[in-house]
Amino acid sequence: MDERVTRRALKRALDPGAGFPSATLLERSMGRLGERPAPVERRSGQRLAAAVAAVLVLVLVGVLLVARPHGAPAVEAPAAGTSPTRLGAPQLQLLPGGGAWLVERSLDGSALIFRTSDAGVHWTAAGRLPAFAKGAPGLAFHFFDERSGVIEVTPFHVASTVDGGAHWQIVDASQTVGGVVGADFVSAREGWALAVSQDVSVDVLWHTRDGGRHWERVSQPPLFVSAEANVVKIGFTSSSDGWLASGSVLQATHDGGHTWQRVDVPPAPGTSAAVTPDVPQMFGAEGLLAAAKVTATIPPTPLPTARGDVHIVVAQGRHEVYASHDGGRTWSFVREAPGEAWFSDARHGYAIDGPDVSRTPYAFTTTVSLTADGGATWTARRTVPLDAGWQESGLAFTGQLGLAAVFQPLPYPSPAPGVRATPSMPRYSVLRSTDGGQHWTRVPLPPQS
Amino acid sequence: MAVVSAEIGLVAGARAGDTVAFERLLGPWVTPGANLAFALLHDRHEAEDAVQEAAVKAWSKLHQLREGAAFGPWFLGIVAHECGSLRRSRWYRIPRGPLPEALAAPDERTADDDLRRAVARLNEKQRAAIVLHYYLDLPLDQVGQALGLSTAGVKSRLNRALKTLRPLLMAAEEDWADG
Repeated sequence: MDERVTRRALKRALDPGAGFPSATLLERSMGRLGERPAPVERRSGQRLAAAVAAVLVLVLVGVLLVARPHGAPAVEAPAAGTSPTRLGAPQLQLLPGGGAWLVERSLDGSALIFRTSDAGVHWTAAGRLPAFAKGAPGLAFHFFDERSGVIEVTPFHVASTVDGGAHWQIVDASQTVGGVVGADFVSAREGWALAVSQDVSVDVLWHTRDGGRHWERVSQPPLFVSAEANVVKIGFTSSSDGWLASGSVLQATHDGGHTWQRVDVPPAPGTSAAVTPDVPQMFGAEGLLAAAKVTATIPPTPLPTARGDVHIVVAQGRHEVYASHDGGRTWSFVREAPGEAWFSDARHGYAIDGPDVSRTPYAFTTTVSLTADGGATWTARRTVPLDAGWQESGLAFTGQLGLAAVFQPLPYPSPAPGVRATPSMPRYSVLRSTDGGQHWTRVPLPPQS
Repeated sequence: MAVVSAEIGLVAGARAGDTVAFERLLGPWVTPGANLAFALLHDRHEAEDAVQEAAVKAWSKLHQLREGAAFGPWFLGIVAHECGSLRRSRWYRIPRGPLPEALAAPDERTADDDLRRAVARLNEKQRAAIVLHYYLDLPLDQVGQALGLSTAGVKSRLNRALKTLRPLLMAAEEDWADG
């Protein structure tokens, strides 16, 4: 195809429309330079930071006990002879009984899997997944207990285990299912995948009963998926009941995904802004739903699209909790939550506040709040301890037990013509708390080799 | 890429803390940066936020710009990186498009819509490469500089992306020619 034609078509399709960017964008950008030190000052600061970091790396083989601001929670020293920091990108899932799984992604796209049966005190290796694609492809997992779980990796591969990670069934479903935008499993065998068909105009729901070996197409439009929604989430709580959250629309199925009905999530009393619901968490007939709501908007600016110029522009938002007592058919507002909320049963849950991406530099403090009455009241606990420059990448609570993965992000690589940035992985640690986040202990994982 | 001496002087001045020099460096790249961010984020305000964040980062990390390297592609690389961070770190989930009721049936969508959706579903590096080369008209070596890739790596990503997009590109072009 002619390169000129390619350019012309893409310029039309990606055109942001008139009046963009704002005439004041350069001025506003310049006005923010004061938020960061001038380059010269920064350089010396970074050299110092690099020197400190280098010393720390040497010392970290033994003990990492960093002085922290007054009031910040304490982190106990790790067990002697173990390194508290590892290389990789960790994600973790805490099970209701105190078991947990941790998936550590490596630079080459492979993943190491660990699990614990004693609330994170001891971890055992539970397998390694090979790289299915170069780089660091997307990865999501669903563990159901200490023995069974599913890991999905892009391009869509399904790895499942029913023996605690001793054996993994790995299926390449990328050719069958194609562009998956969301998937969920209710067991190591049964799951659903929402995919975009090859002509990218139709969203299709697929169903498997054998860990991804075979897929059945169970739904086509009018299943609604917002074309422009940032996040499409799909969640099933049984072989029949499932949820699809796409933008401000929540839909439910009670026949395994064949038919879908829209479910109303009414705004809080006295407010009118539509909520953006997450997939509900169901505990029998009781359900809890976390939602985001816009609380302040910049005056609407029309964004030309072929489907009209309607747009809501977000400036600020808040988190809310809704409850259902009839299996998710109707929902009512409970109260505002102090962060994005998760629940381990119909009463207990936790909310995480942060990071605040609207601030520069980002506010990477993470505050945990707990509820024991289904979100009606929240108790703020102390923040997850973060050394300077570290961020929290995974955090989960069940009751007073908490596990957190914290990592040190990589500096932005300086590209140069014809030179590929040298790849490296962030350092990370796993922290454990047994008192609802008041105190945290670094826990070691088995060797990476 | 050869860098003209005026830009070298501006980079040196900005590194010394001269904001006027930095503004002269940044100015020509604000609109391309915003267009890149819009193509990656599909949101005007987020795109402008990303450019502002990128400008602040470029200011504080200017010493990382290699001697003799051009400022523009380097800045666009920061914008692309910022867009990726923004997409990954969004704590809210807000509808980006028209309300569901306003959505047309699939058969009423235009070829440009489908092309835009297809671009949005490319992986980050492919999408950025497509936008930088075909939308912002950056030559391959500058796309490579922006994305930290070799020219061969850029070509490879473009070819893979075009393979996905080609039927939609043709449809969009036919639509345009008919319309």
